[in-house]
Amino acid sequence: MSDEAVLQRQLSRERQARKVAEELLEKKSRELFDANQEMRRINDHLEQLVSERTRELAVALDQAVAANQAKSQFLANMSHELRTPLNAIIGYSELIIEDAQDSGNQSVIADIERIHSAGKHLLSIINDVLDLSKIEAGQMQMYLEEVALLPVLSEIVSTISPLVDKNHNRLQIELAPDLGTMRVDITKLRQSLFNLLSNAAKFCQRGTITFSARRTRGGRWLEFAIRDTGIGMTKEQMSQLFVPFKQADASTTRKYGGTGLGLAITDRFCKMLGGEISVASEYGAGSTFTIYLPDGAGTSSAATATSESATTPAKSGLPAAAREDLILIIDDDEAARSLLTRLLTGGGFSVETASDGESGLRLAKQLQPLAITLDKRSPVENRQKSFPPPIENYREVYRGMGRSNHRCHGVAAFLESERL
Amino acid sequence: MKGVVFTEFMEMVESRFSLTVLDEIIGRSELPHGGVYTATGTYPAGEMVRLVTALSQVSGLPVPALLLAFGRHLAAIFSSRYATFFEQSGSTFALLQGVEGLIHVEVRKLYPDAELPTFETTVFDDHLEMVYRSPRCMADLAEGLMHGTAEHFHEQLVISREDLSQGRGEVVRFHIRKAEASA
Repeated sequence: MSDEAVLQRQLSRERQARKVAEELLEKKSRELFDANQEMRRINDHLEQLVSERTRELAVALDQAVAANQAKSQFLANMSHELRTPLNAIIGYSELIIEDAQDSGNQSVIADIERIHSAGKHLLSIINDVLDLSKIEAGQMQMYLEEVALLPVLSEIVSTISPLVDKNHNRLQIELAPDLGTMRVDITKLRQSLFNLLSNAAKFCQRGTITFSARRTRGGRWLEFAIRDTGIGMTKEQMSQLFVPFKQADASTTRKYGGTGLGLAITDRFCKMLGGEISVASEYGAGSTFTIYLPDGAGTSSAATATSESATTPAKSGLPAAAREDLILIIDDDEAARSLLTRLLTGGGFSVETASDGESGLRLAKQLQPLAITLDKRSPVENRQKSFPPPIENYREVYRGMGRSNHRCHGVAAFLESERL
Repeated sequence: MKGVVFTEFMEMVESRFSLTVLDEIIGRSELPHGGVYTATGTYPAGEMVRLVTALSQVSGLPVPALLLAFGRHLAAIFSSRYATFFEQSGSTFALLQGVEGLIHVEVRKLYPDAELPTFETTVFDDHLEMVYRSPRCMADLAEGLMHGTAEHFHEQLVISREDLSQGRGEVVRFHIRKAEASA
């Protein structure tokens, strides 16, 4: 076997190997190209799917938002429609009780008082529904003001005392001496504390309810704690605590009543005020609810405007025509006008009324009253298209009179006053 | 069996013996592929058995010794061609532990048709145990690869074996220890 023959065979093998390698390379390249094409096709399909899904989701989201707004609007409208006759029931029952007391007709007083108390209970439920729908619709506004805490808390305690006594509970108050003043929406704070205290009073019998308030986190936060020795809650019950319309369980609703909205509203209020609420509880031993709020939770323009409007009215520079005791009532509801007139005249005020926006504005300019009450519903909610007259028109009247510090009150269902 | 094993085997025969020996064993083996292999192709393991047997006949060296030597040669080639695996492992034991879970996984990504042996590795305080399984019965080649890997890391291994397949060589347990460094 010659070396030349060996080399030739080796060369031939190498050449064949090269050809096989080239074929392999070409095959792999083709496979790679096909795989790339397939990948591109899959990618295009995926992008198309994603964009379709995104479109569908956007439509679904729009529908959900619209449905939620419609629900909130419906609730707000319904609540208002319910409150109008209800406030007539409450207001007139109060007047009848007063009349009966004056005339010594004791026999009807107890019955009318039941009507009055049932009406108030129903009103508080409707108010809760309205509050929650407003919060969820993002229409709940904040009015921050500087408030001295001790008088406010004392007032809350005295309001809640009858409820506490009802179940033979003892109320223990622990208020730190350095509470001072706090910049807060006092209506929301008051309602939150009232909700927690009335819950404690409701779920505790012959026990002790401790209400404490102190400054914390370097004095920049306020901590309000309500501790009771009542029925307490299981962990499962606590997990549903701040969910609207949920009570611990169905038997709780049957036994203790209520809508299951109080804590949900309190939770939302605390968040709006930049704080939080926490709960600790032991089943059968009692619960502690604690609210933490920053002093001066965010300063909104609404809050600033409200603070300014709350300053003491200046007495100087009033036109001679201005009537210091005159209240102008503008409402399209006859029952509302009548009841407000009776209440205000009973309180020593003079009253003028108007049933539509146009005559209301005319009277406002002419009489320059101390205050004006307006139906706070939007025009679409009202029977008259021009009703209520835009509040800005009245502010304009006051500005023209040099009385920009006077207040216009929106009156919902003519008893629930709300600053506009 | 991957073509790289064939091409590297022929490289070794040519460098350690001669081109004439390589030509002779190819001629003797009557190979279906005629001794023409590319590194990325896949070929029947039987052709490798024929080549090694022919080399044993021509050189007078036993088959196990030839496979061991080839394993060492292959490990040196792998350590330069696939250096990343060696650098990432950092030691013989670490690399051996990653044969099944890392190296073979990568090989299968590139060559889904690759017929690879399996290794089941157990780590002990002072040694490793690897159970080799393959119908191609090339535990000698595997042991050569282990020694070659240790040489790359400037380590030495003491390896003992037990056949778990009644002497057929299909299932073999390796007991692998690091040799004590000589004074």
